[in-house]
Amino acid sequence: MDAETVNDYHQQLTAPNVLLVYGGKIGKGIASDVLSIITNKLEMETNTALKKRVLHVVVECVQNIERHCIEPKTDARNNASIVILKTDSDYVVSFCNRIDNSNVTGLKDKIEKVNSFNKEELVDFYKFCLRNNTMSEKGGAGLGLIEISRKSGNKIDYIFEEVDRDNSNFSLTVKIS
Amino acid sequence: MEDLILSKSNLTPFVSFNSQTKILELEGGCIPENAHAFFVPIIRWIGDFFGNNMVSKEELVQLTITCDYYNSSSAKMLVYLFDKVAEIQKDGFNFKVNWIYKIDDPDLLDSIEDYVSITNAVIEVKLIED
Repeated sequence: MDAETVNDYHQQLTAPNVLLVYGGKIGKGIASDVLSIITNKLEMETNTALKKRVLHVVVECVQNIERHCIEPKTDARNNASIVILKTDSDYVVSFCNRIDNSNVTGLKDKIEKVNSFNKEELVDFYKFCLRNNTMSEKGGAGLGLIEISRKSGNKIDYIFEEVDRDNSNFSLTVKIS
Repeated sequence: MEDLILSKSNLTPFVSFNSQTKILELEGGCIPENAHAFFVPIIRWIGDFFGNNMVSKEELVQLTITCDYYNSSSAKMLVYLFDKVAEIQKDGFNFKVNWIYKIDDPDLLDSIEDYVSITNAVIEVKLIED
């Protein structure tokens, strides 16, 4: 690879709209690291409510991955990646991680359900789940996706890409405005 | 009864529950990986404090929450905390809960109202200037 090709990476990563690009392991403790990076990057944001929503979405995404991500068995790719961008009027938060194929349908159904609600219905559903959900063995309360949708104010975009008979890549993208 | 003191971390708030002064404080963001493990001792302490005749029904016990940021699993554990609060208040104890919030934080105000409607706990919101 020549210096010019490498320089293309530099150009892309230092563009003003790029807040964070990360590829690697998302293990225990990474939430506070990602949060402190993003908190610094958001210092210029004057809309404090928007800033908090971005942080909220990022934390939910990171902790979702911590709980549910699995190590890739079949190739040497990173097990997760994060892309956080700023556009003119909003922020884009995107996470990708490896999951077990047996979890694809359930996860897709959950996202579709959350996406089917309008704003008021989503608030009601959140309150219902807040009251009635129980904590899972992995420490989640089943509220993460609802929170991501609520805080973003937009639908959750997602892609499932089958890697092999056991695993898929799952990417989730939300716009926060 | 032993006080409950937890120092602040990157992921969890400062906790100071003083059985002598009857002032309970919870201050800072709350995004622990394991919210269950973090909140269970807190809820248990409150239950023991009121359950073991440590305080009469007339004495004022004040819990002040200064937390504008918590993750979704903590949100669930806060329901259990406020269930306990509601139960104690219903038993006739003088247990006041204040939640401090800043004016530019409408989301937090909504969340506190959610807790009031879900748990029936009496929570007073206190506005402070930034």
